[in-house]
Amino acid sequence: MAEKMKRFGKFCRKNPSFAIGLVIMVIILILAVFAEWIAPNDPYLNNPKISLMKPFTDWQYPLGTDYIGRCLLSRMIYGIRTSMIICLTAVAGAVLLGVGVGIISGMSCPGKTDSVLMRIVDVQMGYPFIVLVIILISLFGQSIPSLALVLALSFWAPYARNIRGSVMIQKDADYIAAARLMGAGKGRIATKYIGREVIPGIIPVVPMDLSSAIIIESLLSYMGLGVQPPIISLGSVMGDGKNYISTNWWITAMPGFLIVIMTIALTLMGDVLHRQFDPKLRN
Amino acid sequence: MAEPILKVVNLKKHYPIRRGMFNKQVGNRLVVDGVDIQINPGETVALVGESGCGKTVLLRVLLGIEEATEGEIYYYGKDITKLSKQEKKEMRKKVQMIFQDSMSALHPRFSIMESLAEPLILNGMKDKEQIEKIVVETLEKVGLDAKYRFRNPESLSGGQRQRVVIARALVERPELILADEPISALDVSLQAQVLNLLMDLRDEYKLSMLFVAHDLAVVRQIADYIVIMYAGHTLEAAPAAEIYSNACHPYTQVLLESAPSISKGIRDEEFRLNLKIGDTPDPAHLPSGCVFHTRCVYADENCCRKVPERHKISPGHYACCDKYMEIGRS
Amino acid sequence: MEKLNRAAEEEMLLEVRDLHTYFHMPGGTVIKAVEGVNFTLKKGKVLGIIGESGSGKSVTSRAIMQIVDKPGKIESGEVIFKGEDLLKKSGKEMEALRGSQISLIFQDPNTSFNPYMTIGKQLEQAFRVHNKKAGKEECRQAVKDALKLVGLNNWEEIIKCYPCQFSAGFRQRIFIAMAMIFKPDLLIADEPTTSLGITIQAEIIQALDEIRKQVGNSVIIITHDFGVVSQFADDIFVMYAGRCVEYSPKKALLIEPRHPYTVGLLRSVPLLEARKTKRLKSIPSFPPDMANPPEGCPFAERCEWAQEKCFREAPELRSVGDGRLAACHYPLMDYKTADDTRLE
Repeated sequence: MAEKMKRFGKFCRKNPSFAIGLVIMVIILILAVFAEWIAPNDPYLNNPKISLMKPFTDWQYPLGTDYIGRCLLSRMIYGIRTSMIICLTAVAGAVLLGVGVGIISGMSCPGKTDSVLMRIVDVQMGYPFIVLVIILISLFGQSIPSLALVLALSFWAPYARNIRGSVMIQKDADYIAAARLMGAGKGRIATKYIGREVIPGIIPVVPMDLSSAIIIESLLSYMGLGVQPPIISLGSVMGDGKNYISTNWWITAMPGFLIVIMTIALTLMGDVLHRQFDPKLRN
Repeated sequence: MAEPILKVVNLKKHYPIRRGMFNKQVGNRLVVDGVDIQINPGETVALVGESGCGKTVLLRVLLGIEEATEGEIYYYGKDITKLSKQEKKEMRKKVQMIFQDSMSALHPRFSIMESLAEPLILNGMKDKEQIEKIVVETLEKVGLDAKYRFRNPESLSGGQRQRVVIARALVERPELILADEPISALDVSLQAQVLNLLMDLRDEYKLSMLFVAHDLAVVRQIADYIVIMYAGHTLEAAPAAEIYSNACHPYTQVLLESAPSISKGIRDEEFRLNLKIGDTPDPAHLPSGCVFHTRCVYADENCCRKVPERHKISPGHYACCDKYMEIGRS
Repeated sequence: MEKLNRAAEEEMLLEVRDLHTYFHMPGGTVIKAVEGVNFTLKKGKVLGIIGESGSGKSVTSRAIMQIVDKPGKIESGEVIFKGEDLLKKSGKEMEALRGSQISLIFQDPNTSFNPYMTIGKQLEQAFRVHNKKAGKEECRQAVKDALKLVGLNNWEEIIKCYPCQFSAGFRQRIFIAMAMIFKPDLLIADEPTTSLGITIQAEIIQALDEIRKQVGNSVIIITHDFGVVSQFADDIFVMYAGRCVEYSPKKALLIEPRHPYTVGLLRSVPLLEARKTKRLKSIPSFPPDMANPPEGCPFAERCEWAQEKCFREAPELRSVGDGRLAACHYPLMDYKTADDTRLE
C-alpha cells in the first residue's frame, strides 16, 4: 500500500497537470460532502430585502444573492453536491453497463447475443441525444435517481463499443487459449483475464465523460428538465438567473464559471491518463 | 507395446466459408484434411510443415480448443469426446502446450508468479506457500532465477519469456507436451539454448512430446518420429533416421534440400531446388489429386487426377506418393 | 586498417569505412547501434551480414542507403560507392541513386505494396520514379523484363492482380522484381526470407542468385540464419552488439571460424548434418543491453575462452591470416567446425 502511494506520488510529480486537476476535484468534492458546514448561509432562506445583491459587496453573502435574496455561494455549494451525486452515479452506471455489455458481446462474437446487443448500441448511438433525454425524463420523472439513470443510459453505449473491440482483439491471444487449457471457466476468463486487460483502456475516458455529464446535467436543469425545486443543482442555480441575465449576469455566470473549472480539471486528468494508458502515446 | 498416449486417426478440420446476406455456406476451407499421428510414451514426434499447412489448427483441435470435423482422437485408448468430466480434468493436467509467441502466451498484466500459479489454483490448490514453492522450483528448473517471479512479461527478453512459457507447461508435471514451434521466434543463439532445455526437461521428467516445426533441421536432435504435413495432409511419416536417410516423398526431399546446410556451403555446392515456382495451396481451393502436384517436378497427369495411396515402405514408414518407386531416394 | 588481400583484382563497388550510427533516445541515453563497421564489396559478389536482433545489421544497411530514422544519426564514417562518398551527397542526389543504383528489399512483403493498386501499376510507378518521360510501351517492357527476371513468366496475368491475391512468398518475389526494375548495381536484402516458409525461403534465395548471375549486380544479404548465407554468399560479415566480430571469405569462415561468437553461432544453428553429441552446444546467457554496453569485449560475458583482458579492453578488428579479420584478443587459430559436427 505504502509502495503504491509512493508510486502515485511520483506519478503526480511527473505530471503536474494531473496533480492540479486532482487537487481541484478533491476541493470540489470536499465542498460537496461537507456542504452543511462550509456554506455560509442557509441556501433556502430567502430575504427579499437583499435580493439581487452584487458579488463581493457584503462578506455575509460573498457572491451576492439571487432574485429572492438567497445566498448564491451557499446555493452553489449545495448545487455541487446534487450535481456530483447525479453525475458520479451516472458515469459509474454507464461504465458498469458498458463494460458488462461490451465483454458479453465481445466474448459471444460472432453470435446472436452479440448481434442483438450491438444493434441496441447502434440505436442508442444513432438516436438524437436531446430527444432521447427528453423522452426518458418524461418516462422516469424529474428526480435525482431518474436523472442519474437518464445520463447513465445516454453514456454507456460508447463504453460497450470500445470494450467489445478490445475484447475481440484479446480474445484470440494465446494466453486466453492457455487459460482455457488450464480449465478456466468462462466467468474467470471474462473477469480475471479479459477484464483485467481491457478495463484500463477506458479509465482515461471516465473523467472526460464525468465532465460532459456535469455539463449536460446543468444544461438540463437550466432548461427546467432537470431536478425540481427545492432541490438545488448547479444548473438550476444558473436557471434561476436566466430572467435577469441582462442586468444581473453573475447569477448565471458564477455557477457557469465553476462548471468550467471542474471541466478543465477533469480534462487535465483525462489527458494525462490517456497518455499513460495508451501504449502508442506512451513511447 | 504400451498404449499410445495420444492417437489421432484421420483427423479433419474444415471451416465453412459463408457469403452473402444469409451467411450461406459456399464452400469449405480444408485446413486439416486427414492426418494420423501416434505418440507413444516417452517418444518425441515431430510434426513438420510450412506455414499454412494446418499444423497450428491441428494442435488446437488436439487440445480441444476447437472441435474436429471428422476423425477420432484417443487419449490412452479412450475417445476424448467420450471422456468423463474427471478424466477430462486429468487429461488437461497431463497434456500441456508450449506456445510459439511468448508475448501473446502470457497475460501482459500478470506477474510471472500469477501466470505460473494460475494452473495450480485452477486445479484446486489453495495453500499459498505450496504454490510459491512449486513456482520457484519450476522457474529454477527452466534456468530462471526465482526473483523473476515478481516481474511482468514485458520486462523480460524473448528467451526468458519463452522459458516462462515452458515453466507454465511444467508446473503440473505433465506427461505430454505439445510444443508449437517453441523456438522459431527466438534469436539463433537462444534457439539452441531453449532446444537443449526442452531435451533436458524431456529426459528428466520422461515426457512425451509433439514438437511442431517448420523445417527438418530444427528437429534433427529432438525427434524420434517425424510426420511431414503439407496443405492439411500427411505426406510422409517415418522414424527420424528413415526421414533423413531414406526420404521417399518428393516434398520431404525438397524440405531436406532447402534446410540450412553448412557442409553444402563448404563444398561450394550450387543452390538448386527441385521445385516448381509456386505457393502452398489455398485451403479453400485445394488442388485435385495429390495436393503437392502443383509444385512437384515429377508430377504427371495421374497425379493431378488421383489421390495418392498411402504406401508402406518399411515398418513405421509411410509415404503418400504413387511414384515414389520411380523417383528414387534422396 | 589492413585491406583484404585478394588474388583477383576486381572492380570495387562499395567500401564502408569506420561507420558509426547512434540512436539518441529521449532521456539522454545513447544507443551505439553501429560502432565502427568496415567492409568492402566487389562487383558481382555477395556479402552476407549475420547477426542477432539488435546487433545493428539492419541499421548498417539503412545507413548505407541513408534512410536511418530519427532518433538515429550517422555519426561518422565513409560509405564509398563507385568512388564517391554517399554520406557527402545531398538528399536530392541520394534520391536519384536509390532504386536506380542501390535497391533495398525488406523483410515484410505485406507492407511493401499499396493494397489498392494493381501490381502492374505499382511496378510502372516504380519505373517512372527515375524515368519520368517513359512512354507506355517502354514502361510495359520494363515491367515485363523485371517480372521475367524473377522467374515469373506469366507476367501478363500478374500485372492485372492486386497484392492481396498473392501469398507472402509471391509478393516477396514481385517486390524483388520492383527493386530490380532498373537493374541496380547493389541490392541490399534485409532479412528477405525471415517471414517465409522454408521452401519459399529457398526459392527466394535461388531467385536472388539467378538474378545476380544475369544482371551481375552485387548483393548484401542481411540475416540471422547461417543456412541462408552459407550457400549464397561469397564473404560473411558477423556482427555482434553493433560491432563487426569476424569478416572473412565464406568457406574459410565455415570451416575454421576464428571468433568465439562465430563458433557459438555455428554450433547453435540446428543442422541436418548429424552431430556427434545429441545436444547442441549453445551460447549461454543473453546478448548485452545496448543502452548500457559492458566495458571490454561485448561478447566476453558469454565467451567460454574469455580471459581477464577481454573484460577490460575492447578488441580491435585485426588480421588473423589468409585475408581474414576478427575482433578478438585471442582468436581461435585451430578450431574446426568439423569438431562439433560430422561433416562429409
